[in-house]
Amino acid sequence: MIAKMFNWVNDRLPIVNTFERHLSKHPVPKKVNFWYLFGALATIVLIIQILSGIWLMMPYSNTEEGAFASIEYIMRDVDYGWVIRYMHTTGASLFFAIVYLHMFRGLLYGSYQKPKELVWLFGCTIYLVMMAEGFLGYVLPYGQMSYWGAQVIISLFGAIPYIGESLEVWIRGDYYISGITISRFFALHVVALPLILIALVFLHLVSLHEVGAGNPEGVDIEKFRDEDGVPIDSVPFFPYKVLSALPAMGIFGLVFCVIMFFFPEGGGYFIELANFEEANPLVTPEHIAPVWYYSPFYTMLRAVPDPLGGLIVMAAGVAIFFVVPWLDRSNVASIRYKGVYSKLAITLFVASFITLGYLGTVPVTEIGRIMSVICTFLYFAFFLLMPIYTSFEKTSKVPDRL
Amino acid sequence: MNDSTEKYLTLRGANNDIYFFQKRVNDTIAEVIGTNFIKKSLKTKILSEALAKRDEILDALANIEKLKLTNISDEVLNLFKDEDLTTEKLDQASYERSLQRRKVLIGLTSAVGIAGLPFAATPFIAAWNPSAKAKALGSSVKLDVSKMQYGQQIQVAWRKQPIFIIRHTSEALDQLDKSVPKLADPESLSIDEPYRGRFVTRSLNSEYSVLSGICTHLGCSPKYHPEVEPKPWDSSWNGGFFCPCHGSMFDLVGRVYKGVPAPSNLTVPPHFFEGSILTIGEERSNV
Repeated sequence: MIAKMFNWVNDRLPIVNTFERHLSKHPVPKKVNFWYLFGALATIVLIIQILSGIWLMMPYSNTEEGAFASIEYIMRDVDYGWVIRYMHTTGASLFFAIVYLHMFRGLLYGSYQKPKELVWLFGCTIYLVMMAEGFLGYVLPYGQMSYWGAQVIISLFGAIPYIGESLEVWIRGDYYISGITISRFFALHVVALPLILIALVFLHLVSLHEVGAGNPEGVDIEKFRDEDGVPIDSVPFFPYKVLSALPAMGIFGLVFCVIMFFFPEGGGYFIELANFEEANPLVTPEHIAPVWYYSPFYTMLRAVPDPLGGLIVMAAGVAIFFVVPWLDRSNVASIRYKGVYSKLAITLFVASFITLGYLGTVPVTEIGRIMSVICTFLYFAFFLLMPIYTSFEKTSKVPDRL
Repeated sequence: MNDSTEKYLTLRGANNDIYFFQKRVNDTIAEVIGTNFIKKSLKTKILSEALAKRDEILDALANIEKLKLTNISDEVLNLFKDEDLTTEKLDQASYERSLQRRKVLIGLTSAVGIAGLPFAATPFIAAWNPSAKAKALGSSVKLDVSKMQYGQQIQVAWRKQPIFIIRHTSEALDQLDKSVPKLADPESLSIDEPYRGRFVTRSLNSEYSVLSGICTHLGCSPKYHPEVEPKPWDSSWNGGFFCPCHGSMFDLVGRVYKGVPAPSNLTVPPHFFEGSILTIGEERSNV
């Protein structure tokens, strides 16, 4: 009876086909390391964010008078409201942490190289949409940092010549960040961008399954196939990879819960302390800093004295990820077989990125300003010099088999 | 078999005016003629001719079924086969013409569609402008400044942002020149100064300054320190504004000092005086 019903549906919907194509018969490299887990973890966080987000929408009020109060209402009066809110804020920070690690894996093992350029491009777009999504979400509680952070970010658009000022008013829909701004940010945050995000994740995965996943050795597993045409060095994604990822997911869940229950503010990095005060357009907080995940780019903005120049440098800092597939001229994918210059470059890149991130969270000092300029240069040097050092350095030979 | 209706006939071809025969047949016949779907150009535009040709095919089919033929001559087989597949393009020239026409039509519809996009986008973009309500609330504030004391500064909110109004003493105004060497842009050349060259107060009144209370650095609100006395931030302070956030200094009419984080002078919002009534947020109307 059930089998009959299943067949009836399967004749009309490609269930078995899809399951086989993308799971039980989808070949993935048999040997990968922990760096290859973050994609799956990111998917899980996305689901957590959507679920907790829908539940937060219900008691949240998107008005100037009601927004801040409704957050307090969620925290105090709604049963388990605090769990759901902290789940969402913890999820946001961990989403970025995971995506940064996931992107770093890409840089480390050349996951953007031919034929995976499109996978990389979809991924970069996901990152871009996530940044917008995170920013919009941060404004919704209408706390002091929501207000002043948004003030700084929106005034960035004011640096654009000629149209800047009217563009600011257009984005806000008012002459300051008011209830009008909040309710439109709410619509974008809960409907528009999540739709785009889900569509992009779908494309990211479909294009990945078309070209096949990579591995830390940068070995092309398609070269050797058995008589059925299945790559010898591959295993089916399900159950091998899915089940072996379960322990990692357990550990991740543990970390998530520890933060959510014991350190939801993340020492002021996940939820900035000034945001526990309601927005006041007449009083600026002592120190305006972005949440940690934007911090490196905020430092780049501050490193340039001219507002428009700062905006351009900051935008370029994000945009440059998109062209990485065409900057890397190396004949090997993985850092393991790249030369010493690539290894040096990626080390300096990580160091500069972390330093930029730190500098963005502290007030400007003279030393800090100099450091931020140096690190901005190092950050861009990693990308812009990539065509040179990857084509001249001596690489070692990649083995045939994994 | 004589059927005067147009059963099994269909109009096709480049101009949709050539009769085609189309019929699905059962498996037995399909095995003999090699297809279970007959689609054949009858190469005519005239209905009576098409009907005659159709009946010929139908008769042949009936024959095969009745006599249970398993082998048929090529001649009969040809009845079911569309030997010349280009018959749909019978009139090559008219086909080319219609292709051309199609291209033009596609081009034109696309052009109209693209031209329509901005119109379709207009409501979506315009809906983000400040609403009538937001505009009304953000329009202007009026206040009577005659009750202010000399040297006093008051703060009003316009568009939820602080506006400073200062009634200067004549000594303070005389002192202004003294601080000029310390100023980055005493003539306000780097900003869009609305009332340039009227009064030293930078406003539309010789006694009052009207300034936006937002530091041009990062949007903090500077504090008013009119006293002429040594201050922690300046040992020869002539009176002015000091921003507690990042230490920017401005003189009494909001002109920025050299070597501070703020890049430019405090701006002067649109305003006008009617006697002692100050309106902020509007230029004087011509009425």
